[in-house]
Amino acid sequence: MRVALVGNPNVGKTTLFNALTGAHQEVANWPGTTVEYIIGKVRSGAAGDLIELVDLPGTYALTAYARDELVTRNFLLYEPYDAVIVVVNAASLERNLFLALEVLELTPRVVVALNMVDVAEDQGITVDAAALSRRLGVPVVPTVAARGVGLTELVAWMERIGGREVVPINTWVVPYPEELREVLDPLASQLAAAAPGPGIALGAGDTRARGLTASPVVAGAQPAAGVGRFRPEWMALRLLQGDEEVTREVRVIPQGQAAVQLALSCCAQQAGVQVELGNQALALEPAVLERLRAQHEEFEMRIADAKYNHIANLLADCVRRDPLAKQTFSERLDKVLLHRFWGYPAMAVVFFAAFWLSFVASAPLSDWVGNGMGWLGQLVAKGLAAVGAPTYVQSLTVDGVFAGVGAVLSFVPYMAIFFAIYQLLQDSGYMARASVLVDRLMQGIGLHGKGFFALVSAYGCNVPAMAATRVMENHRDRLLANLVIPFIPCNARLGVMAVMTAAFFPGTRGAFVMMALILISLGVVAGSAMLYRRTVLPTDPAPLLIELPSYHVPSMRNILIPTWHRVWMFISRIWMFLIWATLLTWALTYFPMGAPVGQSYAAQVGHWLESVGRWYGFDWRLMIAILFGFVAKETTLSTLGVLYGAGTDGSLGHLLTQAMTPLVAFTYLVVYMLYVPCLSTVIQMRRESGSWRWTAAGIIVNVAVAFGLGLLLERVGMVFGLQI
Amino acid sequence: MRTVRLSQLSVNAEAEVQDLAGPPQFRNRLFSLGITPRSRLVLVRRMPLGGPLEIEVRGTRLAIRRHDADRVWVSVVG
Ligand SMILES: Nc1nc2c(ncn2[C@@H]2O[C@H](COP(=O)(O)OP(=O)(O)OP(=O)(O)O)[C@@H](O)[C@H]2O)c(=O)[nH]1
Ligand SMILES: [Mg+2]
Repeated sequence: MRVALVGNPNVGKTTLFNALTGAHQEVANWPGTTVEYIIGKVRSGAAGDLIELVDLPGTYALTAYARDELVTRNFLLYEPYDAVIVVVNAASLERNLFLALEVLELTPRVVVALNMVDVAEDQGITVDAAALSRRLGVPVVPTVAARGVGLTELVAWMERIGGREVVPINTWVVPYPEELREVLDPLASQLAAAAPGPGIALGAGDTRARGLTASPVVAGAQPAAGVGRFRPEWMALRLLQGDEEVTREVRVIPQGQAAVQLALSCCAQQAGVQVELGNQALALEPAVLERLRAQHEEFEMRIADAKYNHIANLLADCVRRDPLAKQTFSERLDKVLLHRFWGYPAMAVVFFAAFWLSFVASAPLSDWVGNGMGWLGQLVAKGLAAVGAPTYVQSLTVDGVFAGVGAVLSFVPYMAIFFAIYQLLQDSGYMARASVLVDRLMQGIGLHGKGFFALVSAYGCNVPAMAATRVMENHRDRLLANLVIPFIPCNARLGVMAVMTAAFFPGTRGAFVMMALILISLGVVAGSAMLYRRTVLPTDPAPLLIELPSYHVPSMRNILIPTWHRVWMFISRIWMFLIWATLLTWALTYFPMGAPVGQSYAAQVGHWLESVGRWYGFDWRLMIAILFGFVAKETTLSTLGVLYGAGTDGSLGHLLTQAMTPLVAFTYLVVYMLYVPCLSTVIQMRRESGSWRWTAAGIIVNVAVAFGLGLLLERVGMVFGLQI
Repeated sequence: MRTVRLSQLSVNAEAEVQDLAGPPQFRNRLFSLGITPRSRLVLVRRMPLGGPLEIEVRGTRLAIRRHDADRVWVSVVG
């Protein structure tokens, strides 16, 4: 039995899901999008482990507009399932029931989970679940997902509804007003005549092609809902609202064409347009189409209006509101956190703490992991030496295999801490507010407010920052953020920059140089974002219409489970690439066997690259460091150390200052700061953008800007004879 | 009854939505968030620096950009 969880964003679907399934979950991916859904098995209940639960992304409606809402819509329309749990927030039922009604129009196999009754109570709102259940015609179970209240009853209802015990509900679900029914009724009977039987099949049954089906439906039963079969009433509503996908699909079923024409002529009639609707209504003049479109919208609005009227009636009977004298906790907190002055310092403190914890406090952990791996490597090498293995095997083990594994594992500590904090900020309700606070500033450079945290966290590491762009629902907004993130220097790059800056510009000058570098990167981020917006992504950021949910104290489980999923996903995707890349760099520097570094293959590649580097005054060693830095920026310092023959005594800085002028060093810093951070970033970018072409374009632009700007600085510096 | 753009409403004023303009996608989103003609809303606060507006509608708090709020016409109640 398969049960889907749907509901508005932030109503507690995932909390409910985690409480019901525990750790028995797997993350599946929709082809072509970056939105995930999660599948788990319910463990409690009589026939408990037979229920497969699907956690879908939050949505406000089942329209086909927003790309990511489509995930939920497509699931409910075309995938097999036996029941739907609509999770609603008891404290804001009026808005939440809108989606519940939309789902009810689609299928009667619904259980409503009336969640957050504790929050509602605090706000003086009492909901009579039994009365609501009678009025809706489906079970309504009060729950407090965060504390596991009401779960047993929910599971029991899931089993009954999923097991076919369904009371048929009112054909139209919502009592639409007379003038709408005059249009809807003939349309529905036309559709019913078009395809007798339990429902009308759309999409020619090609549900497989749409994705999902990660795991087969358990227990072999034919699922009861979804799979592209629809009630005529639902289709009539969709046709009238001008739902393009449904209209397209209806056209191809027998007699569907007639229904589509009926819907169109209703619109034409209401809009007062005189048209002859032939078989190809699409060939109408643009002006007429425009008016029909407007009429569809008019219907859409009237249908929405009727739903809200119905909801108002329901609530009048089922909800009691005791006016509260005191302000809610959220209101009092917002007085400070959204204050016109204090809001920004407060945000700075929150983000700084988040940043510090994930990237600074975690540093020793990463070091331990790295050192631990190094130590293990040495141990193994000693063992190998003892049994007389050749030197190259020992070197391969230490500098190749163990260094590679170490590179992968050293990501884990800050990834884990970062994702946990990210989840905490999301779940608590603060992230939505921060996005709103900075939206105006971000918009100035063509970015979306929701992308702010991603950009800030890119200073820690670009890879999770790219994952954090996922909060933006618009694909272009997300893509743009992903394209500019590599221009932001991450922790590893900042570290290298700090060492070089300290060597070349001692004292206060160093601080100014660092500041100049950061300003340059900010300028490049803003400039490139604006340029991308003007050229290849010519739209405004998607409207920012977000809910500011009440603050919640998130549960431990809610934070740990997604954190674990994300870290694991990252590791499982990245490890192969990183280990191969490390092995390759090892081989390049080690062979030909016995040759000094200056004659290794790496050096030969470096000499070849020097033809480019000469423009900038970079010698082959610097070029190699740039190249190898691509594997992982963390290795840059050790690469330079090896190439310049520096020991572990900190002499690298001294050697560097002898090898180049401060101007060359500054140019190098700029190039190093801006160019493609590392392999992991590229892979993450591919994952988030969903396209190799965009990834390639982003990287080409990135490298071009880095080297172009470097050259410009170098030349300008030369002209002015700058010695910084 | 005075009809103004939502963006011109004063803080803490209650208003009734009269009309919604803008592309279908935007209007549809407003509907599903509960902003429909004749719905009641309250302007809770304006974010600083010309940022979005916070409104309360149908028991939930929403943020909406000022230039999007320009497309919503409301009449002040009481
Ligand atoms: N007080 C209270 N808090 C809850 C309850 N259920 C969930 N929460 C909290 O509400 C927040 C959001 O819960 P989620 O489960 O992430 O919501 P969601 O519906 O999965 O949200 P999206 O995935 O964004 O659509 C978390 O901080 C939960 O701890 C509840 O019944 N009572
Ligand atoms: Mg969720």
